[in-house]
Amino acid sequence: MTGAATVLDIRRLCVDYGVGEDAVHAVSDVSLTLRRGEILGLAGESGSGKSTLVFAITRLLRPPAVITGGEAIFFPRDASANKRQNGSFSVSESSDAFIRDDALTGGPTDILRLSPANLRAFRWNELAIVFQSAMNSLNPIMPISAQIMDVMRTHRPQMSATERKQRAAELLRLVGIAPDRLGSYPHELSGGMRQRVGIAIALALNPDIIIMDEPTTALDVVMQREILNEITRLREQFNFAVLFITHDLSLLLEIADRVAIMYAGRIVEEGTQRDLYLHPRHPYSYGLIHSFPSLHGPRQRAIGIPGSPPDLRAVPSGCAFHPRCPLAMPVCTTALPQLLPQPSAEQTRVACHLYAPTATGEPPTADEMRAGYEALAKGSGSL
Amino acid sequence: MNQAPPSPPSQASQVSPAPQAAIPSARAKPHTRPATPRWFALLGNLWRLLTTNRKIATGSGIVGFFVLVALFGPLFVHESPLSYTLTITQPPSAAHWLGTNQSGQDLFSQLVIGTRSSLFWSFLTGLIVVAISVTVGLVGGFFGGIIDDALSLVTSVFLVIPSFPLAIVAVQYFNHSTLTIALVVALTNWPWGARVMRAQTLSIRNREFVTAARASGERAWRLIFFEIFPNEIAIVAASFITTTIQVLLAVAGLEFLGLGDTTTVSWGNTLYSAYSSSALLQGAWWWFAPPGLCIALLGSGLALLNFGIDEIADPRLRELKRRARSPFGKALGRLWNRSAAPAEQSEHGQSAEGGAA
Amino acid sequence: MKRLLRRLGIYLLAIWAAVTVNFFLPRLAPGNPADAVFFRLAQHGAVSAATRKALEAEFGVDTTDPLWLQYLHYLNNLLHGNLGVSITYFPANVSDVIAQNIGWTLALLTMSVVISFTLGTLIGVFMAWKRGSALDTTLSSVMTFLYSILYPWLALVAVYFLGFKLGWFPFSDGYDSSTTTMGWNLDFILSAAQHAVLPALTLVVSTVAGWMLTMRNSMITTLSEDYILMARAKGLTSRRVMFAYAARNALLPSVTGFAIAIGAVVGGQLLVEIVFSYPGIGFALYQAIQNQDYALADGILLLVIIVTVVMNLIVDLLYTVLDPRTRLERTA
Repeated sequence: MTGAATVLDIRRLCVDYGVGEDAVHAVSDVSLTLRRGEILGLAGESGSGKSTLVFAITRLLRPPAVITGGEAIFFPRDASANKRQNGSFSVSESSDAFIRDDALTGGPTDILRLSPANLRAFRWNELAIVFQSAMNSLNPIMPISAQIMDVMRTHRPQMSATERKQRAAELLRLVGIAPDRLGSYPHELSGGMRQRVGIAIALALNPDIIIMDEPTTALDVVMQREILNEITRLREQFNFAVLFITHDLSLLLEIADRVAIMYAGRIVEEGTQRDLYLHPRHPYSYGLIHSFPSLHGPRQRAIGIPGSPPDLRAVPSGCAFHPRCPLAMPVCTTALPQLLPQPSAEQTRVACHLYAPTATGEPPTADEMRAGYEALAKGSGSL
Repeated sequence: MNQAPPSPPSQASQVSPAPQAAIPSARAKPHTRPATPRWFALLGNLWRLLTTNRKIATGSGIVGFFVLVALFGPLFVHESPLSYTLTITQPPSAAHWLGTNQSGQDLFSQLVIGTRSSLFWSFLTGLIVVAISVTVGLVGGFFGGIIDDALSLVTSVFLVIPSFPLAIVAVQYFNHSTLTIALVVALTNWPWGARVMRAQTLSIRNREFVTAARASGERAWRLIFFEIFPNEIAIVAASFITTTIQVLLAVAGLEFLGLGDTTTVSWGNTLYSAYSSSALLQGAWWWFAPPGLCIALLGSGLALLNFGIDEIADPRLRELKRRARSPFGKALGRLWNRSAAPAEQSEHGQSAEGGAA
Repeated sequence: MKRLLRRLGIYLLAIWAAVTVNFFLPRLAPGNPADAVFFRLAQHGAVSAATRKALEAEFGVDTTDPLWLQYLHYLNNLLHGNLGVSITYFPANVSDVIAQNIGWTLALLTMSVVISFTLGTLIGVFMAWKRGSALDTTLSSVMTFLYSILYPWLALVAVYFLGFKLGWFPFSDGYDSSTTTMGWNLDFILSAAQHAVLPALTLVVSTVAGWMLTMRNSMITTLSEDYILMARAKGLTSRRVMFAYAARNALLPSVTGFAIAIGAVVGGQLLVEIVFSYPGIGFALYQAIQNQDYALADGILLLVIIVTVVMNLIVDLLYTVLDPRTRLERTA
């Protein structure tokens, strides 16, 4: 995946709730790169700003949320290199070219500055979303066929009704639902099926990017597994890039290629799934990874991160994590750590004073971090 | 996190209750000094409730005005509203602010004196209606089973019967006193409130505190009126206001038909005499216009109160902060709405309950 | 289907309950309503023995029959459409009087309700969509005022200004009986339409606020649903999001509200008809009240209830069409 071209580049994105001095910084200075065909996981506790980030780059934020800075550059596919050769859709192939000429003229585009008309054309064509709860994200009084087909009707006006219907049936088959379910209403489907329908709708226009916002949270474990397998399989078949949002880091370690971890509106660590799993650098990442029992590897006691995520109206100074950090140093309370690349691993970036070039002494080892957390746990009694 | 951009303050409140709780108590400080008597704190809560939501503020202003007129207005009216004079059908003048009718009666006096009876009977009837619907709803929702089935059926049946025509037919058999009208209107308007109360009771019935009270062996009526009922105050208030609007209109409607006690002074009776004496054809707009305007104004005040309560109960209905607006829209918006942060709002939810309990 | 049958049962019960209340009211009332009726009848001339007997049965006087037998007689009479004799229109039967007037009422009711509901719902959709705009805030204030207006008062104002002062529209009667004759001719239809403008306008203005505010709130609640967000994310046109996704869902609570409010609307229309001397059952009811014509008033009440029930039924059917969740469950 290393060499794959960038499809979405988020640069220094900032989102506030409210304006003026009451403004709450929900997302601060976030930069992230999503490459073609990869699964990038974005993890964080609730309130860390991950969903706000997603709604910002999809331009779905509602007042009082305001984007106060940054860019989200989308790189359209090279016209000559049609990734869709391996796909099997004669129907959509012809129509794709049409929309591409019409809406976005080839070059990189800042999504945050798209005109309303271009934004509408961009949506779902290039970037689709699978929402957390398919029960709530499907229109309860419209049969699912209509909800699949209205995407085509809007974005592929030249498709005939029969073509649309064929494509809808095909999409359902792709996600493992019998096409005779086309006429069903959401309430007639099980939770897992509804989530599959959500994925089918996302696939409808063969987008380059699919954002999945906790797509399995509302499902039971067995169904979760099935949906994850489905996503992995479809990704291999159609090579779309996935931005996968979840609070469940263990899930990301399984399916993501790369993972970014957010805390209090900032990214604290970013790296390949493997590197993050084996060598979490930020104490917060370490705490998250070891807060659930490991399935593989040696048996270790799970540790807990003390305290709770900060109130965004009163974020601690310096590194926002310092009040909960077992290895906090004096500098952590005053200076904001920069997200810096690590010499030890090519793709890893960490925002922690322990790893800064100016840091005195060696970065902590895993054992030191574990010992720090355990000492914290003892120190604060049962809490 | 499935909700659209969740607002950070409310999120934060879930995970860190401490700072959240600190804010209301800090705000409440001026009103809850230990030395001040309890009613003073209650008044403070009430005042904040009235002033935070713009609709509630405007609504209570209007209703308050009419209440003041009803209480003290008659003290300032020296002319008897029903005494006949020779100045008949005069347009408004310095001597008769709202003119006179065909019998030379002063219409301003009628309006002011009528405010008292119209308000009194509307509120009284509203109270009776709410008492009936609260009882039916609470009892049905609490006991469930065959009692609930029976009460629900009766409620559904009477919900279908149009109350106003039924009231017309019923009133004509009895002597036309205002009390009769009030009773008939009360007996024909309760089903809607009963349905709302039942739904609310059903949802409260199985909460922990009720279960706990039940387990400790409290009697059913105590459970109903001391455990469940206080939690429904907001709904009862909303229901009372809605009902009062309906009742105000129903009583005035019946009086307009001449089914009221025509020897008393009320807005509806003035309308009746205006209509039956063909005030229209005499061009005496000052005869019929003011009472109707007053009814609509009082109704609007009550409706505003109700919309304000809705906004407190359902944050989605609240006004959003917006950037650019036309000056006109801005002014109107300022008049009508005031956005409140979620933290503030939950505080008022509490104070509403606290103030009433 | 089961739901509809249940509703139908409730409607039949409602009619029965109203009829029963109607039966007991004169028997509970102080004094003797029948005396008043006989007195009025005597003014019209001799009262025939048959009429006398019918009236006695109706009010339960001068009869030795036990109450239950009287009740059965009463029900039997109703089932045969025998509603008694009207004093006001003596010697016409109540059923004939009603038959003459009901057409006018139904035409006016249907026209004003359809216009008002459609208009109110549409404006409510736009208000919620443009929430907080000058349009929204201005309309909200105006509508709050209209919401609590007394129908007959608005009718008086309309008669006075638009009819009497400006003379734009005729303001009494259902058609011009001096120049046209009732029937299916163009002159009559034009005249009737002209006469219907002011009553219909009054009804629309006084009922539109209710539908509008209901729809606005319902729409605002719906707009915060996830499926609206998804529809926007799909890049659908605003129009499609607004109507196919938001408005259609928001309509459901609005339709339920419609069923509850319809009784009040019918009641309000009766008052408006009176002010406009419109030849519907409202005006007949006013005559009945003026003349203590109990039989006519009772008959009109029965009819109003039937009209309300039928409108409720229509709403129920409509709801079934609008909300797939109420249709027969298919297996999941």
